[in-house]
Amino acid sequence: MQNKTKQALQSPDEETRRGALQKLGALPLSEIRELLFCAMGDESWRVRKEAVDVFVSSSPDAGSIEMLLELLRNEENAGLRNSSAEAVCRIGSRAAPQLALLAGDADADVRKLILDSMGSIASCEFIPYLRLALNDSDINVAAAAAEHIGTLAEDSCVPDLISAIIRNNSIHFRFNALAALGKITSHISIPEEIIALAEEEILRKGVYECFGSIGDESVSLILLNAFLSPQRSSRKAAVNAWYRIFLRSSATARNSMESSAGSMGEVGLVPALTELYDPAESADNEAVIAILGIIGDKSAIPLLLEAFTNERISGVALTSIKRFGAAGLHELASIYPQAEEPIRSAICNIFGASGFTKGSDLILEAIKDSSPVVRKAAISSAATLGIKRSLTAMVPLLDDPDREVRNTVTNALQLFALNGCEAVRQVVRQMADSDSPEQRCKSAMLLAMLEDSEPLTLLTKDEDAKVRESAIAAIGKKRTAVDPVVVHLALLDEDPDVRIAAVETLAILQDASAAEALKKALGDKDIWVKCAVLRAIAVVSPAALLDSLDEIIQNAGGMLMITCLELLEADGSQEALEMVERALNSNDPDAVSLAVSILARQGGEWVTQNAERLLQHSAGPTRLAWFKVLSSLPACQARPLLAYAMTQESDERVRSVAEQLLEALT
Amino acid sequence: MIIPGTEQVMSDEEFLLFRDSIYNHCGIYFDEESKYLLEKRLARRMSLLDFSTYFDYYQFLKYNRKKDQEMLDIMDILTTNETYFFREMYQLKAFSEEIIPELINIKKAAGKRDLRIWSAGCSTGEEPYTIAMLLNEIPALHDWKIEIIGTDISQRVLQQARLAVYGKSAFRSTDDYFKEKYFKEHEGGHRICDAMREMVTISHLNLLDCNRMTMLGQMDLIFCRNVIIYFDSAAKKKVVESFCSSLYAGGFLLLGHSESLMNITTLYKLRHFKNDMIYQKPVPAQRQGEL
Repeated sequence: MQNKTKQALQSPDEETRRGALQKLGALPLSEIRELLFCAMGDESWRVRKEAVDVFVSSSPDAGSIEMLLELLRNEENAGLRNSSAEAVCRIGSRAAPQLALLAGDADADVRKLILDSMGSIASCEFIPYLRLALNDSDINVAAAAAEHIGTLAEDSCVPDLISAIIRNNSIHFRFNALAALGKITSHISIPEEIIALAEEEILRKGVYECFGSIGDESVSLILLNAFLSPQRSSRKAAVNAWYRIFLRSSATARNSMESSAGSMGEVGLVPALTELYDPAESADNEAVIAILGIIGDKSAIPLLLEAFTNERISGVALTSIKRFGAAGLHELASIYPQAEEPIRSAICNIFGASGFTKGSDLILEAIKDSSPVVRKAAISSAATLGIKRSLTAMVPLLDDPDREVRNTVTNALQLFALNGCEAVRQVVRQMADSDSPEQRCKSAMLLAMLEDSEPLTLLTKDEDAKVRESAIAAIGKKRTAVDPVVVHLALLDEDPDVRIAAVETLAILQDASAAEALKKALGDKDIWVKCAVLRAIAVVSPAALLDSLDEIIQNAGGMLMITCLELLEADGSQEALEMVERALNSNDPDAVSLAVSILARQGGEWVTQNAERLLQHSAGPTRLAWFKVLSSLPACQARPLLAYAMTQESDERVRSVAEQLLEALT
Repeated sequence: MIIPGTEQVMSDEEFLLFRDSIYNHCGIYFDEESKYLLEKRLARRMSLLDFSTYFDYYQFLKYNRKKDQEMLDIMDILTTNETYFFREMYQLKAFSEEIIPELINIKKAAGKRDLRIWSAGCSTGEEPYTIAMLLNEIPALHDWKIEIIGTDISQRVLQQARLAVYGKSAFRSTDDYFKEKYFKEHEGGHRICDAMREMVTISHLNLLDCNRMTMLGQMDLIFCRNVIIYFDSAAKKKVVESFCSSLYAGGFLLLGHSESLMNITTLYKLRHFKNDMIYQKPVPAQRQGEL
């Protein structure tokens, strides 16, 4: 090592010291280890960080890691201890044997730093050491062990943690151990000694959280009573814990918990729970909303309605509202007339989702609401409930000024059609006859769903190209039985999008003459249509694909060439790959690049077998692309091929890049 | 011709360049006497696209990315689209009273109940819809599968043909009976009823594009009236021979009253009906009576 570097490491300027460390990275660790350890205790954190980076990236051996851990004993330099801990964390599991050796060190501070490192590495192999450390004579070490068991969320440690909590009466330890249990999921009967800890105000929240994580229904009554706790944080923890236990309990246990909660309705639980509802904290709200439904007090309905408008908890809110049954839904109907727009919309949605057909009159009224949001909700619910009377009210909304409302009507009509509602046929026919191309477009899919082929066929002859396209596409998507000639003639439409729809429909329907028609359509002048035809041929008559591609690929460029190559790759036969190779001669750099990628994807064996030939390609950029592909092979395979190719390469620019690739390999 | 504001005229050389491009594209041939007509019609496009010289416009037509679309737009202004319902009634009489009954008999004998008719150069659709109305009046065809396909090179007229709304002049030869039975009032005129629209499919086709022509399938009868008059002999020959390939043996080709296949092709025989003379694709001797 040059003296210059050593001098630089002593420089008063931190950037000079850092720069010198970077240079050390190129040397073997054995030569620079002491310098790095020294730098890990530097006064500048940037220098310390650089030293850690260099040490970690030099793949330290066991001996070097042991030496690194010894630095944890340095009592004078906190920076050095921290750098050592950081480095060992970054080394990770490779440092496990050395960490294990020090887990029983006589120095408590070292033991704690070792446990902290184990916690940061977060590997399950440290569990035995952490479990053992729960009984450490030093409270800080034992508390750290509990904390890291929580980080690993290791459920096999639950009995150890419980025993340790009972045995160790340090509040600090118990606090940490309860918090650890709060992070683990299990389902056990909580010992009395743990339950008793709830009496201590400082531990109460932790105890409830612990119940929620590992407890069973036996603690549900304690938690239920805690719903009235004057301490908001404890009340919140109890509510969340009760709900967590409820979610993972058996059906029998749930019934019992529901019945206990229901009987608490009279003791003022609703205001206590309502007070916990915070629109900004959806995670906690879920428990509150669910429990309000279980308690079944109607005074909670306005809050449940509000919660339903929050999409994160709308599902839970709906379940809660459904628990009230018809009485609850009638209550919603009574709220409706005075309600604001979002609540009116919510009520309509709830009626639909609850299958509440008695709310039909309200839904019909809501379809005419001045608010588009309410109209949308009412239309959707009318369709879900299958209210046929609503069809008359929906038809005018096909011309609604709000686009979403118009789309909702179309979706609603689809639902009616799906459910075999014959009354919708008349409405859809009216749409098909509308002056609005948008409506005619939408009617196409509906007619296809209804198998109403006569008006659908007429739409394939519409004056608006978008309508013709929709009709042809609908025939394919719904496999509607129409005269195949309709689709075949659409291949001659002047609008390329209609022709593409026809091609795609032929690929779906695959009638007897589809293959022949597609072959003829290959002569289409539009590139997009041609691409669609090729893809369709791949589906309808795969045996004819290669012939078709052979015909096209000679003069293809741009997108058409890319499509040809993609189809050839999908075919994957020897003949197809040979055609891909021919594309290496294309003038289109994108096509060449794709052809190279496709051939490279055939696997290392294919590439090595063909490398010599491919590297003799007449175009420099193509040879260069192959150099790059070969350099990604395992070095032992790549090196001789590249070295040989270098001897043949005449293009200076290609040679220079190839040289760099070869250097990188060595 | 001087383009307004540009004082540009089409040179003889430019005329030849445009003439050949158009001919190669669609077979429409402009002779020396028609130079003025071509110059006048192209001037409209040049003015619209803001070209100051014919040569610039020619370069655009030849090399621009949108050249294909421009050629289609040129077709819209070069083709004559004026037509009306029930045009050349004597020929339509031969069609509905003589040819169709003959085809019905042949088809029935072969156990078939379908009819495919092509109106080539259908313009705004009066001809295919006339055919649909006439066939609808023949009770013997009521449960038959009838397809009438109208094609044209001009996209603008196809749009109108599909819309099927017609003003007064389209009805100059139409009986009130047909107008009342098959049309309903519509904004801008009268619209053909849906039942007739269902029988007719309108498609885009350049008659010189033999490959796409085969996509139409085989026909019993082709109407191509007052279309090939715009073609020179070579293009005429190519088109009518392609028609012959598209016709079933024994199928008919109906040309305009001023059009003849004399000195063009011998692939057809001329049949003398009571109301008109019609070209027919001969049936090979061993397959008489087939279609």
